[in-house]
Amino acid sequence: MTRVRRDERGVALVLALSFMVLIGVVTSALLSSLISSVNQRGVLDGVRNRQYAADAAVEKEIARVRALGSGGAGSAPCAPASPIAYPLNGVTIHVDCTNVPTLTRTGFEQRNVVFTSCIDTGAACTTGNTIVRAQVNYEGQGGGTPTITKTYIQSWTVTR
Amino acid sequence: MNRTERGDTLIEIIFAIVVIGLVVSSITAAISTSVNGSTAHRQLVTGDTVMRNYAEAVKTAARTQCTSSGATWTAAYPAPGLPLGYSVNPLAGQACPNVTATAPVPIQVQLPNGTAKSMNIVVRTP
Repeated sequence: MTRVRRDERGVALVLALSFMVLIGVVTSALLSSLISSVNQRGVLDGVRNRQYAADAAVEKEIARVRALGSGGAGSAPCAPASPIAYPLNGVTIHVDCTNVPTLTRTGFEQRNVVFTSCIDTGAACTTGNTIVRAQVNYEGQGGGTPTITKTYIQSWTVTR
Repeated sequence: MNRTERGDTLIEIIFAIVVIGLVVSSITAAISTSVNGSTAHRQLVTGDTVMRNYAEAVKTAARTQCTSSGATWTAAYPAPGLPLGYSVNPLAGQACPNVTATAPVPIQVQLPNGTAKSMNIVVRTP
């Protein structure tokens, strides 16, 4: 058996304490990672709720604009109530809508509208904060103020 | 054995056992917590996928089944079906909204651990 020299006393304690500290650090890191991932999950839930709120707001705007009497390429598609803010899933979504150039023929009216939605800040949506952008074609028949007979979703983009 | 070293071995063994016990307990607790947390996290992630799948199925059901006034729509969770232990709120015989309106639809997902997640969407008659 190797003799323990007097000046080595306490080394085992130091080693044991060091090992416990190491285990403590590893455990803390593990728990920290776990807590972080669960919190991130909550953030992603918020993103999902926001996307579906924006989706719902655009759907509401599409239906509302369809009901408007104004038709044709030159009409104001969102008048008189735009911009509109819709609360859903704990967030309020702002929707802008703008006309895009449309070819119009007598007896067969077309109206293309681009809807952009974002978190409501009281200002117009920008490319940086747009959540859903949709281009919709409203087709109606009859001159003057046609009745909308069909609605076509030409594009639907979820950007963030 | 040197007389001055009597008793040192016993104390060292006892101390080592205590230290090993503490370390093993800590590791066991850490692993247990990690496993539980990982399970909960996996269920949340799967629940999110289930909710998105169901929301899209509901929107598709309304879009494809609401073809005339007075029609109704029924949504089913898409194939291959719900993961084991998950459930969603049934939506059958729902009235189609007017073409100039939308209808709010609550989406609810029950996780295997009993947690319920919910979200609201709207559907529109095309």
